[in-house]
Amino acid sequence: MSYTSRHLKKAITINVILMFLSLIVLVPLWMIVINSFKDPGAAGSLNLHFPSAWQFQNYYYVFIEGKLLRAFLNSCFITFSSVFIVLSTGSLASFIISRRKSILTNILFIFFLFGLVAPPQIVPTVKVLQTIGIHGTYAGIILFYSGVFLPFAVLLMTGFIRSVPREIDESAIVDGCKTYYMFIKIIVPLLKPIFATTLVLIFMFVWNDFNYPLYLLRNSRMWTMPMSVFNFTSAYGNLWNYVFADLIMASMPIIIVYFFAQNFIISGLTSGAIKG
Amino acid sequence: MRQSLKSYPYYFILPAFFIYFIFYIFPTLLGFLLSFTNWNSYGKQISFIGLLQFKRLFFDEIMWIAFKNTIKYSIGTAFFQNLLALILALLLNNKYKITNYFRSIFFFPCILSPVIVSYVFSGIYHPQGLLNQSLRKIGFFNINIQWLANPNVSMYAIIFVAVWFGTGILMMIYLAALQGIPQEIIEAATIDRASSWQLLIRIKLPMVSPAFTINIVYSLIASLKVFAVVFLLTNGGPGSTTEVFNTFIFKEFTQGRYGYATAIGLVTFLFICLVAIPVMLILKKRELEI
Repeated sequence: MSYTSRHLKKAITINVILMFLSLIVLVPLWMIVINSFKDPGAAGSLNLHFPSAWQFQNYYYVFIEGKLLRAFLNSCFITFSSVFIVLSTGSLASFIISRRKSILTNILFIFFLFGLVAPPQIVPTVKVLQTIGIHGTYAGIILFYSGVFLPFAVLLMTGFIRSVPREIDESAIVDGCKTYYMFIKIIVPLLKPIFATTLVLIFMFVWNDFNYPLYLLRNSRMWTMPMSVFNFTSAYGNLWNYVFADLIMASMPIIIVYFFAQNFIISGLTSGAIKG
Repeated sequence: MRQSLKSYPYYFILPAFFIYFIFYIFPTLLGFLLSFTNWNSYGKQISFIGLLQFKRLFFDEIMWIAFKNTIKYSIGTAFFQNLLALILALLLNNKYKITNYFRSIFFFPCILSPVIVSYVFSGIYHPQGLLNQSLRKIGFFNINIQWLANPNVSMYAIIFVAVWFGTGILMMIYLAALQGIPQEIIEAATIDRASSWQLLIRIKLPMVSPAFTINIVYSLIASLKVFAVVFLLTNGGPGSTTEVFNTFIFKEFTQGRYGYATAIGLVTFLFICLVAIPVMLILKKRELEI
């Protein structure tokens, strides 16, 4: 057997195996897509056949009944507020921790790292939020998520700022520049790649999270996308066409983001897993 | 020097410090305190009751079921996720044009919410659902397995879901590690007539061992914290046969037994620290030896 034909055989074998394995991912997705266009009776048989009549109005019905617009706006607000708080406060703190090399900053650094190992204690968090008077509010859940992600941001940012020569900020200070102005003009632009990684991680986690909103949000007007799906499915549990349409509509924002920024998301999540 | 340190004021740390302290550290510390109290939704007064919650927890049958299930779920999930992720990474470590599409497909489930994935699989595991239909079609005509209601199979059904949506990210980490192996090493081995099997066992696997450490620790810790898939697929049932720590905590929380829920949370917290740190150290040591 010649060299090239052996290679060809190997290529075909590998790709046929991959094709079969990818069916494990694709068949369940095909099932929800195709059944979301059926009428309740046809969808109830949960098969992979094409619908006899396409029910496009399922999506309109779900969008209204599932209160998806409200949930989408809630998810956006909670996610981006958390991202903003983590990036702004985290970068300020990391800047000082990496520039001042004192015992205090070392202790603070280790103190922040502790949060990478330990899972958050949710029931006492409820108690703390109740005491402050922000349990069940947007502020409560946003500050909670910020607390959870700050350790990660501090770890990444201190490492990065250490690699930025001090001379850069010293020369700015000698020129009479105020510290905060120098920080915003010089340090923040350099942190862009880390801002991006942190953004991806917080976005993916907060957007998809189902555990903590159950404890921290009581009013259904504040519910995020996963909560709205849970609520809708509890009410329409056996009408699979609506359930599947709801699942697809609720996943659309993240699928669109994945479609346009696939490499960005993959590298963000992967480096998050490595450094976290 | 002294002059320049002044331009790095400590108060820049304060906002991050307060948020992290009040919403993360303080609740953790408070957890230690509250688990020694009778805090619940019935009485107004919170009073100190010593180790009573832990004593109750020790004799609570559900606690031991949850403990056993969490371990079973975590080991099963971490094992199969890593095995499959490694196989996929080895298959995808090439330069065919089609490879990028496969990579996107296998990673795709990672971006979905566990809520979405759980409901997709509740359609598949339904007694009249896709899985039983397919099994009947390929010859098991009388099959009618209650995938989620039969205690003998429900935990495995849940593990399969976790593998389905958690493998992609591990696959990417293995793939990055494989692509980081210097091409000269592979070429040198090929010239020495190493077989594909030898190449895999003697070179590729040892070279990706840092990725093993990361992935095993990551998948173990993530699965010890499992909540959504179990809660949505079986809600710990039938009975309490698939209960895990976090579903147990949520049940006690909704019953208003906050002190008890906190005590379970504390045990979970200590358990995760206890598992994660030694696993990390053992794998790190082995990595150095190789």
